[in-house]
Amino acid sequence: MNGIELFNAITGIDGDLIEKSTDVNERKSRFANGGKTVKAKRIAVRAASLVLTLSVIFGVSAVIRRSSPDTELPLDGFFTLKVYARDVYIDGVDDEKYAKRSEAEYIFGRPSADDLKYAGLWISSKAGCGIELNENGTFVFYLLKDASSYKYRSAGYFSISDGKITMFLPEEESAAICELGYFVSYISIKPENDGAMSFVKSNVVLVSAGIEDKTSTDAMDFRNIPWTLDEEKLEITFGGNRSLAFWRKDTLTREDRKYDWDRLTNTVTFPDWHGKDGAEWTGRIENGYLVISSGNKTLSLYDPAKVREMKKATFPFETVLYASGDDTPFGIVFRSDGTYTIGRFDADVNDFSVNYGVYEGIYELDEASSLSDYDGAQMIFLVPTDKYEFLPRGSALRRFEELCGDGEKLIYERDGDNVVLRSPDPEIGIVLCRSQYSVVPPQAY
Amino acid sequence: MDIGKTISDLRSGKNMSQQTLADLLFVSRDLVSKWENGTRTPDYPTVERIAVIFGVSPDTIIDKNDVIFEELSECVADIGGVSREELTKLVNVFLKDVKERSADVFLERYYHLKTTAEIAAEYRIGENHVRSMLSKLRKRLKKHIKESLQ
Repeated sequence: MNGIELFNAITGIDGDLIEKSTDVNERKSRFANGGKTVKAKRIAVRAASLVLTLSVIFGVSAVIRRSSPDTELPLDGFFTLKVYARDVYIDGVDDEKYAKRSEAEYIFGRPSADDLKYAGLWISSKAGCGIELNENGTFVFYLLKDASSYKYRSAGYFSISDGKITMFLPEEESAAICELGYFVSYISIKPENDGAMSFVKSNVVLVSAGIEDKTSTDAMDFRNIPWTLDEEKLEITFGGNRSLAFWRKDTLTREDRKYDWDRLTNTVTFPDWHGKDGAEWTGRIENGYLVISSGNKTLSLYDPAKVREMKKATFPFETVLYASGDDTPFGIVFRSDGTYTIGRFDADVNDFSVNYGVYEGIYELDEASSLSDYDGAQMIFLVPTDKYEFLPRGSALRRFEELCGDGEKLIYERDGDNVVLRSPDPEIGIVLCRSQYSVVPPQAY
Repeated sequence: MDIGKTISDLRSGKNMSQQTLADLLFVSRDLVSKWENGTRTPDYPTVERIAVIFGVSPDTIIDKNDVIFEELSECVADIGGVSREELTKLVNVFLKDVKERSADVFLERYYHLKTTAEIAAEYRIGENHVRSMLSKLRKRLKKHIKESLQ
C-alpha cells in the first residue's frame, strides 16, 4: 500500500474525531495562555468512582475508627474531570449543587514561595492520619499506626490558590477543593460541607523506607530542589515520599517516578527507570550538581537557585573559535558579556560568511579562576536563545547542535591553538581552532 | 511533480553548481545529487530553504500533499490487501487509543494538512517536537495496523 491509500482512509475517519480536532483551537488557546480560559468538555459522568481527597481523609478517619483500612471509601458527589497535561479541569454535571465547580480550573505545579510554609509532614493524631505536602507539588496521605509509624495510603498532586487547596489523585482521577488555613502551630483543612481537621507539624521526616529525625545532620541532599537540566526542558524534584516529579517543560507533561536513597553513600537510584541498555540510573551530588548516570550516559542537573547566586564567569576577552576541514565550516564567538554567536564561518576572511544566518546564545564558564593561564580543560555551559533547528545534518554545525542542544555542559579543552568542545562523553566532540582576530557577525538574511 | 528535475532546472537556470547549492543549504553535494536523481527527497523545511534561494514558492518545487503521502507511506509500506474501509476503522481505533493531544496533532497534519511549522506555532511547541511526535505516531500506527491485521 502507499501513502495515498492511507491518506484516503484518513479522510473517512469518524466525525467525532474531526469535530474534536476542529474544536482544538479552544484547547490550543488554553495551552497558550497557561490555562486561563476554560471550557471544560463534559465527558462521561463517572458517578461512582470519583472520590474527593478530603473525603479520603475523613473516610480514613472513619476507617481508623473501624480498624478496617481496606474499607471502601465514601463517595462525594458527581463531577467530571479531564486532565490535559498538567492542567486539570473539573466540570460539574447538570446539578446546581455542583455548578460552581464547572468554573474551576486548576494547574498543578510546584507551589509558589508563599506556599512553602505548608511543606512538610503534618499529622492529625485525632484522626490517626498524616499528610505530607512536598515542595515539588506532590502530597502523600498516610495512615498513622502510632506516633512514629506510618502506612502509605495514597498520593497525588496539590496546588494552593486563594486560601484553597486542590488535591488531585491521579489513580482515582478525582480531585478535592478544600479551604486551607495556616496557623503558627498547625494547618487546618476543611472540605466542602464538612468540618475542618487540624494537622500539626511532625518532628520527623519520611525518607526512603523509614523515618528520620528532622534534626539529623545526615539529611538528604536531593530533596525539594528543582534540579534543572535545561531551563526550557526538564526539571526533576525529589519529594520526601520516594516520589519524584519529572517535568517536561517542552511538552507540558509531568511524570512521576519512584526513587530510593542510600543514606550511607547519599546516592539516589531509580527502580523503575533504566537506560536503553537496561543499566540502572544512579545519581549523587558532585560539585553542586546532581549528576545522574546510566552506563556511559551522564546528565548534570543544576540547582537554579545556586546558579543564580553564582557569579557568572565568562571569557575575559572576545574568543573566536572556528572549525574547518571537510565539514561545513562554522565559527563561534564568545564575548565577555556572556553572549555567544554561532554561524557559518569563512576562515579565509576570518569572519562569518555573508548571506548566512547567525544564531545567538548565552554561555557561562564554571570556574573563572582557571582562566588565568587559559590552559587545560574546563566546563562551559551553553544555552541557545535561538533555535538550532535550522542546522543541517552531516555538518559540524549539526554536531554542535547535538553537543549542546540538550543543555548538557560541554568541556572546553585547550591544546595549543586547538580547542576541543566535547560532551562529557569523551567520544563526542568537535575540534576547533582559535582565531587571533575578532569578527563582527553579519546581519542574517 | 518531479521534485528532482525541478530542483535541477532551478539550479541550472541560475548557473549554480550542485556544490554551491549544497553549501548554501549546509548539506553535502552528494545529497543534492541524490535529490536531483530522485533517490532521496528533501524534507519540507529544506524545500522551503531551496525556494528562498531560487526566489520561488515552495509549491513550485513540491506539492505539500506529496510530502504528506511520503510520510504516510511509512505506515503502510509493507502492508497489502486491506480495504479502505478497513483501514479507516483501524485509524479510528488508533486515534481513539492515543492521547487526545497526539490525536489532535496527527489530524492537524494528516487531515487538515497543516505544516509542522504551523502546528508548532499553534501549539507553541518546537517544530522538532512536532516532527518527533508525528514520527512516533506514524510508527505506532504502523505497529497498530500490522498487529490488527495478524
